[in-house]
Amino acid sequence: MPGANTIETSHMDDQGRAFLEAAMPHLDVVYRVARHTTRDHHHAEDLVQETYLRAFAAFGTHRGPSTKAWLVTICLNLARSQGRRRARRVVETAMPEPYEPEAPGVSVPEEALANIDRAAVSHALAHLPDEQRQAIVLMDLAGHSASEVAEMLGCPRNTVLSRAFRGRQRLASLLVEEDMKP
Amino acid sequence: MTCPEERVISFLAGELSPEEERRFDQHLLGCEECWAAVKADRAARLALEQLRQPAPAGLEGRVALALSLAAQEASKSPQAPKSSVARPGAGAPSVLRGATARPHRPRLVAAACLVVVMAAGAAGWLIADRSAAEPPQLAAVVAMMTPGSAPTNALRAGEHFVIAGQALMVRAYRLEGTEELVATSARPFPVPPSSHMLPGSSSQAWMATKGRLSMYGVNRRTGQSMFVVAAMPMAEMPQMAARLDLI
Repeated sequence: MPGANTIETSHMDDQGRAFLEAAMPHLDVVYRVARHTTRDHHHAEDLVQETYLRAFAAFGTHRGPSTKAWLVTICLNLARSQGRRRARRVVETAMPEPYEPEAPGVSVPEEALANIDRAAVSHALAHLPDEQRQAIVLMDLAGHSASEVAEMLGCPRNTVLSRAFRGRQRLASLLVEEDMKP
Repeated sequence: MTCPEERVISFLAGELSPEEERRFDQHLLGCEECWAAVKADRAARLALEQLRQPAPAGLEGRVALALSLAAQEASKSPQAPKSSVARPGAGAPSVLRGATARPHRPRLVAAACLVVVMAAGAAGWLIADRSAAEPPQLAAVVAMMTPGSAPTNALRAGEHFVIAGQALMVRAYRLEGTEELVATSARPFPVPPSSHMLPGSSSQAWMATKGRLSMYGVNRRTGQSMFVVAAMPMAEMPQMAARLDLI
């Protein structure tokens, strides 16, 4: 678990130390969000670092109950703005498509998916439409509630739930296809 | 889906009343489509568990170093708001001031890397070659590490080399039994391909790890560029750098 105990704090005032205490425990979550918002591993680490530097600079103005949600929101905003600047370096996702249910009656082999390769899951996730992937990353990987995600993204809670549901349906379908490849 | 999607979503979110849930359970017994959707949702969540991995080893140290440098920079300009640490236009810090004249207290105002700044990018003074293999300058200095034994007197005094056409001086330090090598040069050093730039996209400062070694470097447009190699985890580099007065 990341913590502030290994960090040189002699240059820091009380606010700096308070920042470390509040922010460093969320490093894993911020990394997961960054990792699945960008394609490149090193770019994800750059994004995490930039997120923490921005948050550190703005900590004095941070209000609100959840430091984790605040950090994740900064991360998403940075990813968005960096994505605009470096369009070719961010995740290339499929264009959002209208929801098409998978073939009715097709059974998803849960046990097989539970053992599927992590890289395959990551690959399938990267191929989801942007909004669905974002809802899944924030809920299933970062552990936010639908209400928190709705607030972060500025959209209704039901929309978040619907995007996550549709994204998971599509993800399961992609993984089954992957699993059935010879 | 022929059945209302909202009902499946509410069921999966645990938002149905006990009575509604009982009725939906009954529905699932006879509706293949809804049952397949519930199973797919659960299977996807299970698969996604695999992506809840921790941050890579070394990232905490990297972030810690960046924050430590940011705090150092901020403390030097108390008038300026903290956000100025990453704002272009701040004064360019000196890097490794007096390293040659003061062998026991090399000064690296590493905030260079924080003041992302600096017109440097626009001027294009530093072209970091990250495409090649590990630069020979770095490999040579790493090879000079002698873990567990005292560095040579020549290295302790500061030894001059020309590696891959670049003149540099390497000086050894030992702090509490840990060896550190500091290389300085009038020219920017090539940046290893596996490095992370500090911070943002500036190519002035970088850090990298190689096995149990951590490396941290700052390139300057004018004056001394430097990098330090130490046999310690990246997370401990900020403390070492502070003790050596590098930051």
